[in-house]
Amino acid sequence: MKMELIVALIPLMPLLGFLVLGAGFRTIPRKITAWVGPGVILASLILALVLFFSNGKNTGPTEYHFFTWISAGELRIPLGFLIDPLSLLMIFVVTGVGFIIHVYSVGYMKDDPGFNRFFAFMNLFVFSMLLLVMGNNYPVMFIGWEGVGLCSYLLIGFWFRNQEYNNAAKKAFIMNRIGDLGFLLGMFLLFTTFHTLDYHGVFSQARSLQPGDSTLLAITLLLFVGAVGKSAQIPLYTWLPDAMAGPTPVSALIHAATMVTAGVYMVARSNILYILSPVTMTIIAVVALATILLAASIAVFQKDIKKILAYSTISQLGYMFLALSVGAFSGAMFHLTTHAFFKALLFLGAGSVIHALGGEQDIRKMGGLRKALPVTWLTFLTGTVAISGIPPLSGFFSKDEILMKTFGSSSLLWLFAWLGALLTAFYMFRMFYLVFGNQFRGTTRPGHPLHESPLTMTLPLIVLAFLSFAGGALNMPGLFGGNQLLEHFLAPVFSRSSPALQGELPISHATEWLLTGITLAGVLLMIFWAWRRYVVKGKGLLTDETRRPFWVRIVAEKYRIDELYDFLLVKPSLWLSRFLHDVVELRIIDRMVNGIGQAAIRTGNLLRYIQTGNVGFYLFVMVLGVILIMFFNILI
Amino acid sequence: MTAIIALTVLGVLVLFFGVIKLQKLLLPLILTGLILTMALLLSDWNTVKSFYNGILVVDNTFLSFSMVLVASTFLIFSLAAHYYRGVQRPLDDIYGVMIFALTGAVMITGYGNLILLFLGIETLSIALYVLAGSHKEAITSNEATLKYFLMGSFLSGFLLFGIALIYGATGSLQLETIAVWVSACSGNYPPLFQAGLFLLIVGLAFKIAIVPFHFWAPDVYEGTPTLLTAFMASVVKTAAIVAMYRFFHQVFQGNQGVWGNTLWILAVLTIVLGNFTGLYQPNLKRMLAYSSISHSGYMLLAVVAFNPDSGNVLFFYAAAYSVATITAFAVLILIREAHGNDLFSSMNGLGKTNPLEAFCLTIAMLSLTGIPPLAGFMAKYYLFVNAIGQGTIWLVIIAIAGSVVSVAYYFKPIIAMYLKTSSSPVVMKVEIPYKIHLIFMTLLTLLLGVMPFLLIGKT
Amino acid sequence: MLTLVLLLFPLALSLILLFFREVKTLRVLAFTGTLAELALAIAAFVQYKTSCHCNLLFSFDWLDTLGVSLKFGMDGITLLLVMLTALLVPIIVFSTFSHHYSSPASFYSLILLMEMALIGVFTAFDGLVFYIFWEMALIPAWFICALWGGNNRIRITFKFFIYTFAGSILMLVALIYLYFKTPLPHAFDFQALYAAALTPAEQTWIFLAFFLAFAIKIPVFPFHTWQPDTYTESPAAGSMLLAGIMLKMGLFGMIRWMIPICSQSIRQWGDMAIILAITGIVYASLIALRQNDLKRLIAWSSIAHAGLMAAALLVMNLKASQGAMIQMVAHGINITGLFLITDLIQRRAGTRNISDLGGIALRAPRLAAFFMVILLGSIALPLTNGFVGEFLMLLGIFEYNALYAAIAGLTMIFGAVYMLWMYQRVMLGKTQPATEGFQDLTLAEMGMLLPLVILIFWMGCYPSFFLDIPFPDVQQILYFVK
Repeated sequence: MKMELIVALIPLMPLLGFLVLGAGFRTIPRKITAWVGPGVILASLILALVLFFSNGKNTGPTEYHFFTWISAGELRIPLGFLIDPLSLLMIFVVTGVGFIIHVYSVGYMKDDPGFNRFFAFMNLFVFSMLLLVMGNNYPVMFIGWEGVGLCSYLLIGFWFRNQEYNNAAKKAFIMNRIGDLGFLLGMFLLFTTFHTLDYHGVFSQARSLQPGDSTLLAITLLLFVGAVGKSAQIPLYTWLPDAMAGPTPVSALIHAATMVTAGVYMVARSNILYILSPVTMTIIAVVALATILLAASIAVFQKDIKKILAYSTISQLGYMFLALSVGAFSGAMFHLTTHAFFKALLFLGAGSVIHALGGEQDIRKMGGLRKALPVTWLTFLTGTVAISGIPPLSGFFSKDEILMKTFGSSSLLWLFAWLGALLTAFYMFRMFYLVFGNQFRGTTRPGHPLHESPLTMTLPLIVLAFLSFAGGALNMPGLFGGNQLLEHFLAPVFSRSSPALQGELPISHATEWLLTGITLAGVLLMIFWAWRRYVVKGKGLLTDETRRPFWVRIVAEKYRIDELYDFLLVKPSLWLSRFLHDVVELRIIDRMVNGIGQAAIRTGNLLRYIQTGNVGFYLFVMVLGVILIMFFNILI
Repeated sequence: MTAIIALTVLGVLVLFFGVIKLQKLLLPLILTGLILTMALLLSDWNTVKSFYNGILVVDNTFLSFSMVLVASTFLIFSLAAHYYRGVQRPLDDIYGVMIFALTGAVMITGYGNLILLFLGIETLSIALYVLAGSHKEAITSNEATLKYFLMGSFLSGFLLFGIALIYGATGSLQLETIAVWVSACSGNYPPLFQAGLFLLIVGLAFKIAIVPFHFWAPDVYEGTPTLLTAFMASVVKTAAIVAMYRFFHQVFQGNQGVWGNTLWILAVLTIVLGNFTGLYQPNLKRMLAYSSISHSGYMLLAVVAFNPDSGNVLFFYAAAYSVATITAFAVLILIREAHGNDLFSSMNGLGKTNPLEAFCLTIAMLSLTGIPPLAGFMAKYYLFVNAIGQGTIWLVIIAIAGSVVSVAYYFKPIIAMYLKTSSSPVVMKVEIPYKIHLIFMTLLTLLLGVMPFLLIGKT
Repeated sequence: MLTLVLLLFPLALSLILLFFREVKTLRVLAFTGTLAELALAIAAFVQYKTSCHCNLLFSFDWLDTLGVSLKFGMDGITLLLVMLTALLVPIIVFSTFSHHYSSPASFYSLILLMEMALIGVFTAFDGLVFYIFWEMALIPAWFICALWGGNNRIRITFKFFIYTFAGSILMLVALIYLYFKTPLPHAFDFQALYAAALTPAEQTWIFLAFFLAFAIKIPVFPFHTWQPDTYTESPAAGSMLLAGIMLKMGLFGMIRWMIPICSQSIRQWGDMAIILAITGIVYASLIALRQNDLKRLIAWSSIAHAGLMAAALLVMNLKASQGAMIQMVAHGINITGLFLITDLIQRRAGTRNISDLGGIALRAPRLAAFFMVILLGSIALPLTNGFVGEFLMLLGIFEYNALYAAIAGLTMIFGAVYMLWMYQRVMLGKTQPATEGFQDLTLAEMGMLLPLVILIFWMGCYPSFFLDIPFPDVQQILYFVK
């Protein structure tokens, strides 16, 4: 099979699925959908594997042009794909995790009336995501970038009877749009600077620029705005927790594993630009750290199982950006990958729990589910351990690498990152214990006994659990006798920026061991504390609701950021809208326009009175006229 | 010349027919007579003759404008049958006087001597005084004729005085001689001559109904029997404006004189006042009166921006304007018959009850507004080209502002006819010939708009 | 010759229609006729493509004394808009079948008259002829809106008429003035007008006159006050004709007449105009946030989009102009689609008030899907027609002035806000009394919407086809400007 064809088919398969399911969303029977939906994703996955092994030798980038999408003057945007290690990795993550989640969804959405619609949207999402990662220029990435935004909108508001959900969906789309505007302007500036938007063209020209170039600074910042929106960093993160309104598989796929990591991918893709603008990198570092701590601290007090995971996602994304900010691009991608595994796992596990409890999401009404849901319990435990960063699970290695690199650039950053890690461990195990520890606190609805989920749901859990367990092997650092596979795999992509990275001081193995030890100790301490608090003392949340100090309440109420935005942005714009319409439009502009007309009519009304009907007056005026004419013409 | 004779004979014949009680044959006679006159006029096309040592000059200006006058009269007479159908009294006097009025008008278009101008004006005016009052039993008609007579005779005095002064200054009434004299004093004219000139202008301005000498128009129009109002609005106005044009054309050979600024101001006054006052008129007839006033302003524009082409402009404008106006009056006649008044409110729902008549009136109104592709637009366009060519752009902009205002009143009948519905819809009975006549005039308006080259640049 | 046929065919048809009374026959005639017109347009396109540079010229010395000649022709710019017109009119006609208009004969005949006038505007190669058709288009438009419009249509449509008339008649003065500046022998031919020798001052005056005329027609803030009312009060067909096609007259006028003639003064004063246009984008988008009447909301959104197109044309660079060209088509398609759907909803639910609607998606998933696609087009999602135009326009504006682009770009955000808000209130949520028994799209209605949807994706995925049509001429004009 020709390479072009394979490459083209990878995104086209999901598109096909979307078209088929979308066209016949009322007619196609569920059985077929259940096969088509995941099937097309599997097909892409297989194609990706074929692609990978067929040119496994040369990991060099290969570009595929299909046709010119937009052209005007010197602007020429091809619809082209770039296949290189980075995009391959992303393709695997997207199709792999995507496929698993599709399979899971077959079970999870079994009884939903919108079964076909759901899979149609999911396929559309995978298509857009693949465009995003495969494009060989920024506009094509932007297609995917906005496409995934749309799918996330459609899927968050999947149960559109509920206007709350629709609001959440709208919020997500709009916040993303704000970011997208930044992205768009970034692209424009890129074009005006480099006169092309192809990665190759841009990066090859960018290399020759001086570090700290002001244009690059602007470009990178604008692009980062896009990333902030898409990857839910401060200040545009508030949509992600609300996005949990969508079905759980959606949260797993879009709002944990893939879409939200688009920003990370974009920065990693544009690594050379970012390396050359240290100021941006610093800003990213600050934003990332702030996000890590903020989100983690909020997560500690959440009661909704999915919300906790959402905030955890935000803070994990923060880790990825932290890695990027210190130039550890491969580290970021590594964490992206492992995170995709264990966060998807956690979400699906949560989904299985919710499924078992007939839609209950409040962890205060759970507990003691270990007996009822053994598989879920075990897999969920794996995920929790993995994200908390305990060896030998994947999370440990990825996070450890990030912490190392961070330390390498500044010990202060490391300190905060370390705090974040501790918080992570605490809130994750808090949730774990509250859900599975002790005995059941909730009530089961009659006819809905606590039951383990069907195989279609547990099987994906097991697979993901395995991945989260062993995923670390992908990039085992030398410290543990590994030979950083992923790092070497991705090296060609980041090679351009590596010369610029010489600044950082190398860390001795001793220090590495020390740091790892400290981290590990802290994490274990946290887990122990959580165990004491929620298992031994058996505190439910009910008890630690009481008599909270002020600052705790603020944190528990998510720092009231949503209220702040509402006060700063939403209300004013609505007020402005009313003002413009009622005052500026009606009272001023329109009144002026109408005023002209009315003035004319009034003049007419006045002039009308000259026509008195009195001949004497007429003659008088005429004579007056004659006199005036004579006067002006002759006497002057 | 032959045309004038023919018309006079026609007038006499009409009276004679009246005497020998051939009322039935009056209209056929007149119409054929007018057609004949047209033929005569056409027959001496492109010939330049002058009669009675230059008192009457027959040239294309004379011929073309006379044709407009005769044609307009023809159109009006073809309404007469319907208009007077109920009337018992003999009509030979009215018709005869109309013919004589026409004769006077035709004379004016061809005067080569100020005496003939005065003669023509008086023939026209006196006839009109009679016609205005021809509806004896109606008090409004009497008021109209009285007002018209009072003011008209007064202003004729001005005219005559002006002629006298010009004679005093130049020692001649012959246009050529005056022209020679004028070119002699190259620009700086003695006050005597100027005074005469302006009095002459005033005299004519009255007939054309130019502000501030327009006052008679609305009142007289309203009182006069509608058919004759149409006559005044078309024939008389055209004749008078031609008279003015002819004077400047002959005497000043198309170069701007002292009169430029005055006419400029008069034109502005006329356009502004005509259009703005039109806004407030409650009924169609008065509205048309003001519309005719504002159009005198536009025609004056052609004289202000004086150049060799002005004659063509006036010719086309007069034609387009006359046709549209007569159409409007034709429908107006029907409405008055049906409702006894011509308030806009009584036109409500006309679009439903009498679609044809409504359509014709609409076209007329749009043409008067100057909407392409109707005659009125081409006329205005030609006028503006001429004016801007002469650099009087500000006057054009004012004129344009005026026509924007005019939309407001020209659309009143349209809105009434199509968008409003009357509580008691009356279907007007219109006999076929009348309908055909309306259609004919409407088509004429369209034709002149689509094929202006038929008339443009012919004089 | 084909151009002439294209022009006269609708006229002839509109006259023929007047002789029929039976509604059915009228509909069939009107629909088939407009389809035939579409076929003619396509034929013209093919001819243009196959044997280029012929640009299907038809010329007839009409008023040689006044330098006016009935000169019609087609270049890429014209062709694009003619095809848009020829495509939209049949759809609009089709959409009227479900209404019962009084005196249908005059209704359809007016629509065809309008089509003729619009095509005349686009194909005129002579300044005065352009003006004549420009004014002619106003009459049928006014009658359609005034005769079959809403309750207080008289006041509103009258305002619309006199406002636009006032704007355009100044253009007449400008044209005549230009005429006298053209090289001898004076002529209104656009080549001659381009060649007119003007002092900067004169050019500025002419620019102002043109801009006023076009700004009112488009409409550009702050000359827009006639538009929301008129769109709202007009019958569905009227709104579509006004927004879908007539709006393009102004933009077309800008690129065909204003920019080549007044380029200098645009360079000098254009910023004012651009700032107005961009202000309009934000202004209209903000106001659209709080509209409760569907049609009104769409009207405001149209002002925002139009403002962007106007600004893009005024920056006078290739990207922006090309973007504006394709956006003209895209906007025509999208807004027609939106009005079609509004019409469907109003007919079914009996109301246009967003607050009384909701949950339609539950009853009519097909409608929801079509609506969503058109909506995405109008909020410029990539791979839909709206994106290509907005991308190019914003990029072009960015090259001219980054700040302008940033502000104009806000339309991306606001557009999403009000459109999604509207969609949520109308289509999603629980059903309301008005929408309880809502019927889904019939096959006919889907057939009516399908061409639009296909075009939305076609233009979004493979815009080159559409961008190539006007490219040479736009390039030529901009080259001429330099």
